[in-house]
Amino acid sequence: MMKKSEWIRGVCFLAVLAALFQILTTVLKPKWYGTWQSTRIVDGFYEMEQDTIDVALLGSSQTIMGLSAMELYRQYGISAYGFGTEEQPLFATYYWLLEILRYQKPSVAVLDINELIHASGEPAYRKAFDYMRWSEVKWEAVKIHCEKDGELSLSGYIFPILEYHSRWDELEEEDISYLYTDKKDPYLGFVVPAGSCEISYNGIPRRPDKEPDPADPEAWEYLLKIIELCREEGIELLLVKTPRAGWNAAKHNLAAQVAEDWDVPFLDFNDVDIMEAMEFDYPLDARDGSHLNIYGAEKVGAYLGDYLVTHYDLKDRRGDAAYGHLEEMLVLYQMQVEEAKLNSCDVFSDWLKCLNSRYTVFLAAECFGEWEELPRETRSALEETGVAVEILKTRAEEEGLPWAIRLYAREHDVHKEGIHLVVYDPLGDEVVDSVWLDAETPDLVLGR
Amino acid sequence: MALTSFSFLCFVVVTVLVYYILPGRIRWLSLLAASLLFCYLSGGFAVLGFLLYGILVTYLGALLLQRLRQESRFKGFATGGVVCLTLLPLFLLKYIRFFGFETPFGMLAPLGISFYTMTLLGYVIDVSWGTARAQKNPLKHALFACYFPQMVSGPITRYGQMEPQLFVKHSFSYEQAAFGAQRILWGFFKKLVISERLAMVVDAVYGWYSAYPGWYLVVATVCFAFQLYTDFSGCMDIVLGVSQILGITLPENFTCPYFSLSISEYWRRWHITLGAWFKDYVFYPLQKSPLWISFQDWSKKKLGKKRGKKLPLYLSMLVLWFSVGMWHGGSWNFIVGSGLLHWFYIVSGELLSPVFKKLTAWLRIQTDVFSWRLFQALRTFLLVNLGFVFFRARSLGEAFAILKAMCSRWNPEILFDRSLFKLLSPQDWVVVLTALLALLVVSALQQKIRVRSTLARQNLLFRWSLYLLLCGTVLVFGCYGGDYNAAAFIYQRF
Repeated sequence: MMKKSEWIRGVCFLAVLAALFQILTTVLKPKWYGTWQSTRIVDGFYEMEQDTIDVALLGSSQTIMGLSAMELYRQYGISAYGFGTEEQPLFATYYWLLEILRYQKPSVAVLDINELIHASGEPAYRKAFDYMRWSEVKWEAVKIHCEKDGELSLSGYIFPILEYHSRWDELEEEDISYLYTDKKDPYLGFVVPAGSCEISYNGIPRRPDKEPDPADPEAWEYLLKIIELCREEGIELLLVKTPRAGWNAAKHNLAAQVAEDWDVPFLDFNDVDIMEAMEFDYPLDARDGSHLNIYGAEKVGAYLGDYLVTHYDLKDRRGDAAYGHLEEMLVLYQMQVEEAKLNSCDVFSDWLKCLNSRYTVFLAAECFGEWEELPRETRSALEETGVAVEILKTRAEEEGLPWAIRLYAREHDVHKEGIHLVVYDPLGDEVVDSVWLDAETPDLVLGR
Repeated sequence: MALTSFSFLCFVVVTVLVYYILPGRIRWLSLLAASLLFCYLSGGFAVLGFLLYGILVTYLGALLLQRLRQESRFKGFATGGVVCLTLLPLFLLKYIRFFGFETPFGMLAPLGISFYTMTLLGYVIDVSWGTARAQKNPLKHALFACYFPQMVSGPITRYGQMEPQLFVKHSFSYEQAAFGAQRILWGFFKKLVISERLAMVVDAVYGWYSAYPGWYLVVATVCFAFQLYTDFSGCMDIVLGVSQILGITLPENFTCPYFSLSISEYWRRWHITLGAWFKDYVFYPLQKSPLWISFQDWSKKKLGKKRGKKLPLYLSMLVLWFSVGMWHGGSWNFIVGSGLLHWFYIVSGELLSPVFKKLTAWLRIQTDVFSWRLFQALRTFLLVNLGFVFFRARSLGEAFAILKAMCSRWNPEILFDRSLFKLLSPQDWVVVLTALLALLVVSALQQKIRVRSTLARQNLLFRWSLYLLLCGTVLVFGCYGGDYNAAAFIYQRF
């Protein structure tokens, strides 16, 4: 028989080992903070006050770049949150809705049905589930997913370190700082996208005669489960499709068929009439063929918000003390929107308009060492913005480079010929843009 | 079920819990159930079928042999018959190809067949010689045959070692459980951090040796030496560790073989139970057989007393080493690499011993100093590595082609010009070299002290830090999971 002290020692050691295991797992799990920011979105949800979300925005990357919960709050006072991860399959969206219901009681769910026609790969499932907290919901989700796949190991989901331990040679500072940073998401599950594209797209006309595209079988199964779940929980479901250049009548008809069969409203933002009503200009309002930028998200947010307050009983939460946290987040959101709009500019004149007067612009150029040496037009344009401009001398000998702009021990210069501008926001204490322009070109097109 | 798999760890935890929960007198039954389940999970009904055949033949055969009187003429034939029947599956599934035939129905040799066949053969022969009593309880005999930790890669145990331990009540000992767990962890470290990492280098170079001539092949061969050692000894650490938790002591199979100063010493430190088995059941019986005694007499008459004594000895050693090589796999590269080449080393070493003595005296080389022992160890290591070229190659022809490729280019600059980063990333090289250094330090310490006991006497914070560091190292740097194929131990093939 073991002595009492041996029991205590054994248990204590196992507890410390478990803690080490958990810390290593947390450090080694990938932090999806890149373009789609899946980790921030999932973690941010768990930081929300319980029972404060009235509208759940569900879907994949189309949702988190196209439907801004903050826009709904800013324009209409709607309290919402965006739940979506990159290429998130409807299977995962169903379980995420179940997870949401453990913490929140939304009265409306808005679902972008882009993934109805896609089969997602394993990375999409990992991004959807790896940061979900353990509960009967997650257990059921990963168990069924592994059983369906047949080759996946459930232990890889139970112990993510089995999948991710080989990341030890890719670790970055954010992997360690994740252990202690604040997980709140000030953008409420929205990515605040920047960029623009050169794709011409004016929406799709209605063509009810067009044969619907086939749905992915798993996606179809779980869309119906989502519809049933919403009915059981008394949630009003609205199907949507954000503007997307690859959308067409066949895909529209598929979603419309589901909506009709199950008596669920379907709002297709690709409809030519709706796009016209929003004054949606795809090259200016989208960042690529599938995703909107901040301008497009604002327009969709305005239209969607109006639709929601018209058709559903949603309260205006502005001024409500219980929702005061949204006001604080709004400030941060606005700063991020300004940055995204700045980052979306391709032309110097538009870029100047997006400069906030609180910014400081650092400027470096091979040929111009002093303010007076800059081309007159450039000087006047910068002066009119009211931003502080600092001219940095060239550092050819020191760095072995033609020029460099280094802030916080990080190089921000893009190292191309021309005038280099790095924009610093003192309020957020961060660099918000880094561009160069060739003063010789007539349109002063920006490069990044 | 791989020994380094998560499912095996769960299996061990459940087995240990059930073992100690049950009343003492029936605990061995839970071990038997666990062992049979392990066999089934590892290879299905095929493994179970061949295992049950071996158990049945040796159970009945031993009972028969025990009944026969020692001086009975029939006993020899009976022993030979039981031995042949026991060896039959192994011969048909592994060695028949050596004689140019295909295995029946294209079947593959099931898991561990070489190991448990040796174990059962030893039991049958011991009973025949009267040095062991036949086990009358068929279930106890079955447990001896298929005790699960040793099924995959040994060690090859004797009935006399296991019988006093397997069926008695073992009380749970915290210290033994802790030591066992530490040993398992050390085994995981060797296998997953070192062996699997080096395997990437070896597989790349040996898989396309014409593209990696000269020193690439030298580096890969040395890497293989450490890959094989850490793979096999890591497996043994896990096996012995699991047994220790259960209160069962298995014999050691490795005692730092690369510290050996001669090939003879190497084989007293490498795969110890295999060497001992062949010595006890092949070499000595052959030497004591009437045929060999007659041969010795003839030899002494023809060659003189001194030389006449050596010839039969060397020939019996030839049989021994041929058998050892043959056991590894019925192909000439194993017979040469693990057998005949080592016979050649030992015999030529003995024959040339007077020459070497004169040479060292003439060169005034001191032989009782560290530098000489270091030279001997390095020399032994190099000789062993030559054998590993044959062991690792897929055939004898390929082994010679590799040796030729090794000598075809003089390119030691690859050690310094980052060429080796093509085989393994710089970070992985740092990890594996650091791990090998740790292994070297621990192995050196093991020559002087009992490491686990010494560690157990240290302060709690120090030893827990070491254990947690080792756990973290295996978790983070181990080659396992989706990106790797870390399942198979090399000796599992035999």
